[in-house]
Amino acid sequence: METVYLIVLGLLLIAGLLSIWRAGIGPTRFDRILAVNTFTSKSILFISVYLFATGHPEYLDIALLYALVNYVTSLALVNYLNRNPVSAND
Amino acid sequence: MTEILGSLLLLLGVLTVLVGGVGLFRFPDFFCRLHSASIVDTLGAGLVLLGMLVLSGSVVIAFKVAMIGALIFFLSPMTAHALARAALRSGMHRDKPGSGPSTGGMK
Amino acid sequence: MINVVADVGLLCLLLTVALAIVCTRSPLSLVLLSGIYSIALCTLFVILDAVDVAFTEAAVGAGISAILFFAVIRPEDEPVTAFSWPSSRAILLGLGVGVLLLAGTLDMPMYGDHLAPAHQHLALRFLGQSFEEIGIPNVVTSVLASYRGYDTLGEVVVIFTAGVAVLILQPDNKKGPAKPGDRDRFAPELMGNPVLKTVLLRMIPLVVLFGLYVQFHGDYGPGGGFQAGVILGAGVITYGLLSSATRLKRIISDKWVTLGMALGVLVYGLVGVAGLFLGANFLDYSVLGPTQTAGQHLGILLIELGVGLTVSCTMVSLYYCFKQGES
Repeated sequence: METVYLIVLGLLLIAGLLSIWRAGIGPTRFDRILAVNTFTSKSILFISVYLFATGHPEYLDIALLYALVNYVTSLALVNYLNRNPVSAND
Repeated sequence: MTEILGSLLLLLGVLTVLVGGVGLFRFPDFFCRLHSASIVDTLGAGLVLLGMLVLSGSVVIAFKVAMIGALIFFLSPMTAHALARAALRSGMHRDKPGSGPSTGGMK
Repeated sequence: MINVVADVGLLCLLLTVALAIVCTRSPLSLVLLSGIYSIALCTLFVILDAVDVAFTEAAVGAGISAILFFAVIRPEDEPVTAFSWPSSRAILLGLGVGVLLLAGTLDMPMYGDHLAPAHQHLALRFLGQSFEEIGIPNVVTSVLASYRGYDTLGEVVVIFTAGVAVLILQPDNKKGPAKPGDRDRFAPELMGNPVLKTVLLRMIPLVVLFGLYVQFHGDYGPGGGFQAGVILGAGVITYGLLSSATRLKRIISDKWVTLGMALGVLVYGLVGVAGLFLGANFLDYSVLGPTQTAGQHLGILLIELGVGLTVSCTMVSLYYCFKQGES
């Protein structure tokens, strides 16, 4: 079981690194936004799996908070994009 | 039995997430990347959370996992939808040589 | 093993994000990248077993600051210049400060060292006796609200002062109540879109409910007044984002918000003074109830309510102030 968790966490980290790389290089702002969003959902998974792996699943509140924060920031972002229709170049 | 099932779901899900991540990293233009990052990622997250649902021993924890799953399931496609619209309105098209600008199935 | 992999991996992620933040020029990317940074940082806090800190970081760093930043940045702020290396003097200064900071960490006790000074008397008292003295499972809440109630009062006053400072700085708002106009509608692009409307509107009660859960569950799990205040404030602001600040102001007027800011601090202070009148020290809640633990329970509940009220009202007030300058 430990090995499974280890593999899962490692792969999630690699996937997170790929998202961050995409957020860093762009090239358009929408790529960055997309990368941030996928990174957030990956960290939700990471933290949930980590809490299961270390035997503290009662702290899942944090992952829940991430998901809600993800919602609130996505909404702020969508609102921003709607208020300011911007060109894609960054 | 539940451990094996849960592990399988976890591994399958994380592999899907990784494939989505590679797609996000490697695909040539924004709409391709959106496709990979939103659809594949939602499936992968759902599988991982399903695995944890199987592994969770108590009702409270299962409920929290299910809540997280529901949030991701609704929010991730919604954000992708809003992003695609915003990108389309900003004048970004998926230009294919010879076929003109395609709107990728958006109305 | 799991700890090592998670630690090293997350630190690598943090380093990558920090480098990306240094290299980026556009405000939008900066806000996005700092959101990633916060999320990665609070995952690290969870791994270090600092669950309450992680909660705060997620709610404040990734949540409310992103909302407030999105409320103030504009596309025309985008700089036209590309990234350029700073001057060699700046790089040298940065490296020098970094080396000094690293040298400073050499004096600190190792992580988890049981001989560390903090673990000699304080931690023994808090971990060993707080449950008998306070009667609350979450030691962090006991320390924050009861043993260190004075510090927490100071923090609440700091937040209150910051809110008041922003209120003073905002442009003149004596224009009377805003007239219903075209700004006073649901944001048409958001609400005209059935997908967004269906998902977004139904999510607000969930955010508020989660905020209340964090507020009242803080005695037993991670959370407390500060985090709950931020989440509640975010929930209210969300409604403002979906409609408009004017519409939100008609539901919760800015007078009430300002009043709530002050009221929270007042509740906190009055609980302390009540202890004085019942014959104990300032902010000693033991005398508030029939038994010591009952009094502590009541006191902590009340001051957490005060904290939550002040923090949430300050967040909403900040949002109002930023929106005021726009119209």
